[in-house]
Amino acid sequence: MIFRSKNPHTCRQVGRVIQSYLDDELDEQRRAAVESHLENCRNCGLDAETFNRLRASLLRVQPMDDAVLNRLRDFGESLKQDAAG
Amino acid sequence: MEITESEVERNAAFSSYVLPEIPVLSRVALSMTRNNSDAEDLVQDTMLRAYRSIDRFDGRYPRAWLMTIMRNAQINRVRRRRPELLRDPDRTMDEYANQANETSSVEDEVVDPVFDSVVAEAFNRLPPKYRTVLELVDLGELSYREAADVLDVPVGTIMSRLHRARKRIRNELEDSPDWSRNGATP
Repeated sequence: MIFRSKNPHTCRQVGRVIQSYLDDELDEQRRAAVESHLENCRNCGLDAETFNRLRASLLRVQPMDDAVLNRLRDFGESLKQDAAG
Repeated sequence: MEITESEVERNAAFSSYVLPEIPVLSRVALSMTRNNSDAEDLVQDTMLRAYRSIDRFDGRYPRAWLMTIMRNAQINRVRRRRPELLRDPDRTMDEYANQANETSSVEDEVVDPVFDSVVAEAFNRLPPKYRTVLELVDLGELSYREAADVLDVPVGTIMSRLHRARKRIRNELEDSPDWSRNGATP
Protein backbone atom coordinates (compact mmCIF):
# COMPACT_ATOMS: atom_id res chain seq x y z
CA MET A 1 0.00 0.00 0.00
CA ILE A 2 1.16 3.51 -0.81
CA PHE A 3 0.55 6.11 1.85
CA ARG A 4 -0.01 9.59 0.52
CA SER A 5 1.14 11.68 3.42
CA LYS A 6 3.31 14.71 3.99
CA ASN A 7 5.45 12.57 6.28
CA PRO A 8 5.84 9.13 4.67
CA HIS A 9 8.73 8.11 6.92
CA THR A 10 6.58 8.49 9.97
CA CYS A 11 3.76 6.62 8.23
CA ARG A 12 6.11 3.74 7.55
CA GLN A 13 7.17 3.68 11.18
CA VAL A 14 3.59 3.73 12.33
CA GLY A 15 2.64 1.08 9.79
CA ARG A 16 5.15 -1.28 11.37
CA VAL A 17 3.63 -1.00 14.83
CA ILE A 18 0.02 -0.06 14.23
CA GLN A 19 -1.29 -3.56 14.89
CA SER A 20 0.71 -3.87 18.09
CA TYR A 21 -0.77 -0.52 19.05
CA LEU A 22 -4.31 -1.74 18.38
CA ASP A 23 -3.59 -4.91 20.36
CA ASP A 24 -2.38 -2.79 23.28
CA GLU A 25 1.07 -4.32 23.08
CA LEU A 26 3.13 -1.09 22.92
CA ASP A 27 4.85 0.63 25.80
CA GLU A 28 3.51 4.00 26.89
CA GLN A 29 6.02 6.09 24.95
CA ARG A 30 5.45 4.37 21.62
CA ARG A 31 1.75 4.26 22.22
CA ALA A 32 1.65 8.03 22.69
CA ALA A 33 3.71 8.54 19.54
CA VAL A 34 1.32 6.41 17.48
CA GLU A 35 -1.71 8.15 18.92
CA SER A 36 -0.23 11.52 18.07
CA HIS A 37 0.39 10.42 14.50
CA LEU A 38 -3.07 8.93 14.06
CA GLU A 39 -4.67 12.17 15.13
CA ASN A 40 -3.00 13.97 12.25
CA CYS A 41 -2.75 11.38 9.48
CA ARG A 42 -5.94 10.44 7.68
CA ASN A 43 -4.47 7.46 5.87
CA CYS A 44 -3.03 5.85 8.97
CA GLY A 45 -6.22 6.68 10.83
CA LEU A 46 -8.24 4.88 8.16
CA ASP A 47 -5.83 1.97 8.37
CA ALA A 48 -6.34 1.75 12.12
CA GLU A 49 -10.08 1.93 11.66
CA THR A 50 -9.99 -0.85 9.09
CA PHE A 51 -8.01 -3.16 11.38
CA ASN A 52 -10.37 -2.40 14.24
CA ARG A 53 -13.39 -3.16 12.07
CA LEU A 54 -11.70 -6.31 10.84
CA ARG A 55 -11.34 -7.66 14.37
CA ALA A 56 -14.89 -6.67 15.26
CA SER A 57 -16.08 -8.45 12.14
CA LEU A 58 -14.24 -11.65 13.07
CA LEU A 59 -15.97 -11.60 16.43
CA ARG A 60 -19.36 -11.06 14.79
CA VAL A 61 -19.10 -14.04 12.47
CA GLN A 62 -18.34 -16.36 15.37
CA PRO A 63 -21.77 -16.42 17.00
CA MET A 64 -22.24 -17.73 20.49
CA ASP A 65 -25.59 -19.30 21.14
CA ASP A 66 -26.82 -18.53 24.67
CA ALA A 67 -28.40 -21.97 24.94
CA VAL A 68 -25.04 -23.59 24.19
CA LEU A 69 -23.26 -21.37 26.70
CA ASN A 70 -25.81 -22.26 29.36
CA ARG A 71 -25.39 -25.97 28.66
CA LEU A 72 -21.63 -25.60 28.96
CA ARG A 73 -21.96 -23.75 32.26
CA ASP A 74 -24.21 -26.55 33.51
CA PHE A 75 -21.64 -29.07 32.36
CA GLY A 76 -18.93 -27.22 34.28
CA GLU A 77 -21.03 -27.15 37.41
CA SER A 78 -21.76 -30.87 36.99
CA LEU A 79 -18.04 -31.62 36.97
CA LYS A 80 -17.75 -30.04 40.39
CA GLN A 81 -20.80 -31.87 41.69
CA ASP A 82 -19.55 -35.20 40.37
CA ALA A 83 -16.34 -34.66 42.29
CA ALA A 84 -18.39 -34.08 45.39
CA GLY A 85 -20.08 -37.44 44.86
CA MET B 1 -19.90 -38.59 50.31
CA GLU B 2 -17.79 -36.06 52.17
CA ILE B 3 -15.92 -33.48 50.11
CA THR B 4 -12.21 -33.46 50.83
CA GLU B 5 -10.19 -30.29 51.25
CA SER B 6 -8.39 -30.90 47.95
CA GLU B 7 -11.70 -31.27 46.13
CA VAL B 8 -12.90 -28.00 47.59
CA GLU B 9 -9.72 -26.32 46.36
CA ARG B 10 -10.05 -27.92 42.93
CA ASN B 11 -13.65 -26.80 42.59
CA ALA B 12 -12.76 -23.28 43.67
CA ALA B 13 -9.93 -23.12 41.15
CA PHE B 14 -12.20 -24.48 38.44
CA SER B 15 -14.79 -21.83 39.23
CA SER B 16 -12.15 -19.08 39.19
CA TYR B 17 -10.11 -20.07 36.17
CA VAL B 18 -12.31 -22.12 33.86
CA LEU B 19 -16.00 -21.21 34.13
CA PRO B 20 -15.50 -17.48 33.35
CA GLU B 21 -13.70 -18.44 30.13
CA ILE B 22 -16.58 -20.42 28.61
CA PRO B 23 -17.68 -17.66 26.19
CA VAL B 24 -14.17 -17.15 24.84
CA LEU B 25 -13.53 -20.88 24.65
CA SER B 26 -16.77 -21.32 22.73
CA ARG B 27 -15.87 -18.62 20.24
CA VAL B 28 -12.48 -20.14 19.49
CA ALA B 29 -13.89 -23.66 19.42
CA LEU B 30 -16.47 -22.61 16.87
CA SER B 31 -13.76 -21.14 14.70
CA MET B 32 -11.68 -24.32 15.01
CA THR B 33 -14.52 -26.72 14.25
CA ARG B 34 -16.91 -24.61 12.12
CA ASN B 35 -19.74 -26.60 13.58
CA ASN B 36 -21.88 -25.75 16.61
CA SER B 37 -22.19 -29.31 17.82
CA ASP B 38 -18.49 -30.07 17.46
CA ALA B 39 -17.62 -26.77 19.13
CA GLU B 40 -19.76 -27.63 22.13
CA ASP B 41 -18.15 -31.06 22.36
CA LEU B 42 -14.70 -29.50 22.11
CA VAL B 43 -15.37 -27.04 24.92
CA GLN B 44 -16.74 -29.84 27.09
CA ASP B 45 -13.67 -31.92 26.36
CA THR B 46 -11.48 -28.93 27.23
CA MET B 47 -13.31 -28.33 30.49
CA LEU B 48 -13.04 -31.98 31.47
CA ARG B 49 -9.30 -32.02 30.75
CA ALA B 50 -8.88 -28.77 32.63
CA TYR B 51 -10.74 -30.13 35.63
CA ARG B 52 -8.56 -33.21 35.71
CA SER B 53 -5.32 -31.26 35.47
CA ILE B 54 -6.15 -28.15 37.46
CA ASP B 55 -4.12 -29.42 40.43
CA ARG B 56 -1.01 -28.94 38.31
CA PHE B 57 -1.97 -25.47 37.04
CA ASP B 58 -0.09 -22.64 38.73
CA GLY B 59 -2.83 -20.05 38.28
CA ARG B 60 -0.90 -17.88 35.84
CA TYR B 61 -2.49 -17.02 32.48
CA PRO B 62 -5.53 -19.29 32.75
CA ARG B 63 -6.83 -18.39 29.29
CA ALA B 64 -3.56 -19.36 27.64
CA TRP B 65 -3.53 -22.59 29.66
CA LEU B 66 -7.06 -23.38 28.49
CA MET B 67 -6.25 -22.55 24.88
CA THR B 68 -3.32 -24.97 25.01
CA ILE B 69 -5.62 -27.67 26.35
CA MET B 70 -8.24 -26.94 23.71
CA ARG B 71 -5.75 -26.91 20.87
CA ASN B 72 -4.37 -30.28 21.96
CA ALA B 73 -7.88 -31.65 22.39
CA GLN B 74 -8.81 -30.56 18.90
CA ILE B 75 -5.67 -32.12 17.45
CA ASN B 76 -6.57 -35.40 19.17
CA ARG B 77 -10.15 -35.21 17.90
CA VAL B 78 -9.01 -34.67 14.34
CA ARG B 79 -6.49 -37.47 14.71
CA ARG B 80 -9.24 -39.85 15.74
CA ARG B 81 -11.51 -38.84 12.88
CA ARG B 82 -8.99 -38.26 10.12
CA PRO B 83 -5.75 -39.99 11.09
CA GLU B 84 -4.35 -39.80 7.57
CA LEU B 85 -4.31 -36.04 7.68
CA LEU B 86 -2.37 -35.44 10.83
CA ARG B 87 1.14 -35.04 9.59
CA ASP B 88 0.92 -31.33 10.38
CA PRO B 89 -1.59 -30.39 13.10
CA ASP B 90 -2.16 -26.89 11.76
CA ARG B 91 -2.73 -28.19 8.25
CA THR B 92 -5.04 -30.90 9.46
CA MET B 93 -7.12 -28.56 11.59
CA ASP B 94 -7.53 -26.26 8.65
CA GLU B 95 -8.53 -29.05 6.30
CA TYR B 96 -10.93 -30.41 8.85
CA ALA B 97 -12.36 -26.95 9.40
CA ASN B 98 -12.83 -26.46 5.69
CA GLN B 99 -14.57 -29.79 5.40
CA ALA B 100 -16.81 -29.04 8.35
CA ASN B 101 -17.54 -25.65 6.89
CA GLU B 102 -19.43 -27.27 4.07
CA THR B 103 -22.23 -28.10 6.45
CA SER B 104 -21.85 -25.05 8.65
CA SER B 105 -24.74 -22.71 9.17
CA VAL B 106 -22.97 -19.72 10.66
CA GLU B 107 -25.54 -17.02 10.07
CA ASP B 108 -26.56 -14.20 12.34
CA GLU B 109 -27.17 -10.52 12.32
CA VAL B 110 -24.33 -8.44 10.95
CA VAL B 111 -23.62 -4.76 10.96
CA ASP B 112 -22.14 -4.66 7.47
CA PRO B 113 -22.93 -7.85 5.56
CA VAL B 114 -20.57 -7.12 2.68
CA PHE B 115 -17.66 -6.26 4.95
CA ASP B 116 -18.31 -9.26 7.15
CA SER B 117 -18.63 -11.68 4.26
CA VAL B 118 -15.39 -10.53 2.67
CA VAL B 119 -13.60 -10.81 6.03
CA ALA B 120 -15.04 -14.26 6.70
CA GLU B 121 -14.06 -15.56 3.28
CA ALA B 122 -10.57 -14.12 3.58
CA PHE B 123 -10.22 -15.57 7.07
CA ASN B 124 -11.22 -19.00 5.82
CA ARG B 125 -8.64 -18.81 3.05
CA LEU B 126 -5.76 -17.96 5.37
CA PRO B 127 -2.98 -20.50 5.70
CA PRO B 128 -3.42 -22.48 8.94
CA LYS B 129 -0.48 -20.90 10.73
CA TYR B 130 -1.95 -17.43 10.20
CA ARG B 131 -5.47 -18.45 11.00
CA THR B 132 -4.44 -20.11 14.26
CA VAL B 133 -2.77 -16.92 15.51
CA LEU B 134 -5.88 -14.88 14.71
CA GLU B 135 -7.97 -17.41 16.59
CA LEU B 136 -5.78 -17.09 19.65
CA VAL B 137 -5.29 -13.31 19.65
CA ASP B 138 -8.47 -11.89 18.11
CA LEU B 139 -11.02 -14.51 19.09
CA GLY B 140 -9.27 -15.89 22.16
CA GLU B 141 -8.09 -12.46 23.30
CA LEU B 142 -4.66 -13.71 24.29
CA SER B 143 -1.67 -11.39 24.52
CA TYR B 144 1.20 -11.93 22.10
CA ARG B 145 3.21 -13.54 24.94
CA GLU B 146 0.39 -15.91 25.84
CA ALA B 147 -0.19 -16.92 22.22
CA ALA B 148 3.54 -17.53 21.84
CA ASP B 149 3.45 -19.84 24.86
CA VAL B 150 0.46 -21.76 23.49
CA LEU B 151 2.13 -22.37 20.14
CA ASP B 152 5.65 -22.63 21.58
CA VAL B 153 7.06 -20.07 19.16
CA PRO B 154 8.82 -16.70 19.74
CA VAL B 155 6.71 -13.59 20.29
CA GLY B 156 8.17 -12.18 17.08
CA THR B 157 6.68 -15.08 15.15
CA ILE B 158 3.26 -14.34 16.62
CA MET B 159 3.60 -10.69 15.63
CA SER B 160 4.68 -11.38 12.08
CA ARG B 161 2.00 -14.04 11.47
CA LEU B 162 -0.68 -11.88 13.01
CA HIS B 163 0.27 -8.81 11.05
CA ARG B 164 0.49 -10.73 7.78
CA ALA B 165 -2.83 -12.42 8.41
CA ARG B 166 -4.63 -9.15 9.00
CA LYS B 167 -2.95 -7.51 6.04
CA ARG B 168 -4.05 -10.36 3.81
CA ILE B 169 -7.62 -9.85 4.92
CA ARG B 170 -7.32 -6.10 4.54
CA ASN B 171 -5.91 -6.52 1.05
CA GLU B 172 -8.84 -8.72 0.10
CA LEU B 173 -11.16 -6.03 1.42
CA GLU B 174 -9.42 -3.43 -0.69
CA ASP B 175 -9.61 -5.67 -3.75
CA SER B 176 -13.30 -6.28 -3.17
CA PRO B 177 -15.48 -4.38 -5.65
CA ASP B 178 -18.23 -4.14 -3.06
CA TRP B 179 -16.25 -2.46 -0.34
CA SER B 180 -13.64 0.26 -0.23
CA ARG B 181 -11.80 1.59 2.76
CA ASN B 182 -12.59 5.20 2.05
CA GLY B 183 -16.21 4.37 1.55
CA ALA B 184 -16.33 2.67 4.92
CA THR B 185 -16.08 5.91 6.80
CA PRO B 186 -19.28 7.91 6.97
